[in-house]
Amino acid sequence: MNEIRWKTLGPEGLRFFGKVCADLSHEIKNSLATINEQNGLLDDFLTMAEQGAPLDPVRIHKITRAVAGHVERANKVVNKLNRFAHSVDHSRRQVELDVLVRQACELYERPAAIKGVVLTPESLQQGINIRTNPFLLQQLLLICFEHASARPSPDSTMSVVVERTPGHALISMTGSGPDASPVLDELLDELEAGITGDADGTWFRIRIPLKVDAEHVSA
Amino acid sequence: MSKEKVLLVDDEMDFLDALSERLRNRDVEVTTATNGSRALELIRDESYDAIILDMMMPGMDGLETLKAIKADRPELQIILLTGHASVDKGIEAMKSGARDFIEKPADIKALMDKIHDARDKKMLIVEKKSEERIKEILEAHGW
Repeated sequence: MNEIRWKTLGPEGLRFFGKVCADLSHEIKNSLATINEQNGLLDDFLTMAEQGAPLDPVRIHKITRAVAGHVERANKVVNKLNRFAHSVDHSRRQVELDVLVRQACELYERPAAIKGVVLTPESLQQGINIRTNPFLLQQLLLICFEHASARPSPDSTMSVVVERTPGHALISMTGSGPDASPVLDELLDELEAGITGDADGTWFRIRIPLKVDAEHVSA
Repeated sequence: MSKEKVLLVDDEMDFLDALSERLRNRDVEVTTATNGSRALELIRDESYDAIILDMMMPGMDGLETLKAIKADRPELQIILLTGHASVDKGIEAMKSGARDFIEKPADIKALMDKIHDARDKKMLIVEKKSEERIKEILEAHGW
């Protein structure tokens, strides 16, 4: 990445990294808060039992099930966070596009839900391998998700499709594409990607070349 | 003294169920809502000693709900529950009329203390309002 591009993408990338970490830590906090309340409820029941009230096994099972559910949920969030954190390990590497897009969708699941939008990775074609900067591609995808979810479809859903065309990979989304900005321009340049949209604003597409040139292989 | 009445607003059902049961175990009368719009409907028909409100909810978030409640029923005391102790959000919430803040995971004793404080504050406001109303009536009749 050249120096001029880094001046734009560096601080924006850090902000993006911070925002994703803050969103995910919020999800973990929610699970911890629920586990804390279930633990407190169990403690209440034990205190009541010490005072002679019978312990109800059905209630205790309900609590243990809720705790197990939230441990599983928090663990999934930690896995998401870990994968995302490792996406900065290499400035360029080979990625399976369907896997990366699904991960980006998962990162944006709760922010979308907060806006009342359901983000659906509808059809993600497998076997499309591209050499790219996985962190920057996720940043680009989340900028697109953010923009598209601000103007959701009437049924409040947002679909994402990944497919291969001759020489390119296409990531299509419902809604209109993001507004031009210096960050978007730099991201598209760095990823060698382009965005085109339908005239009626129902779908837009990120187009990424499949061809790997020598400069990128050695980078 | 009558039971404290609390409205608990959070979109996490498991959290809402468990915390409301714990508050009931502590002799608090609890009503629950899973979103800000429902909370606004409830406060129009009922008065509460404290409203415990999650900051981050789908649709109308905690801050928007807080502002709408304060516009409608300024005497109601709101305790915000937050996953993040963000200074900016905290300042905005206090400026918008929040009584207090509690960070998730919440400590039940600290929460109960805040509910008692909120009730005391609300009683003071209601008493002051009543005194002012009585004074207005007395003055209007020249008594």
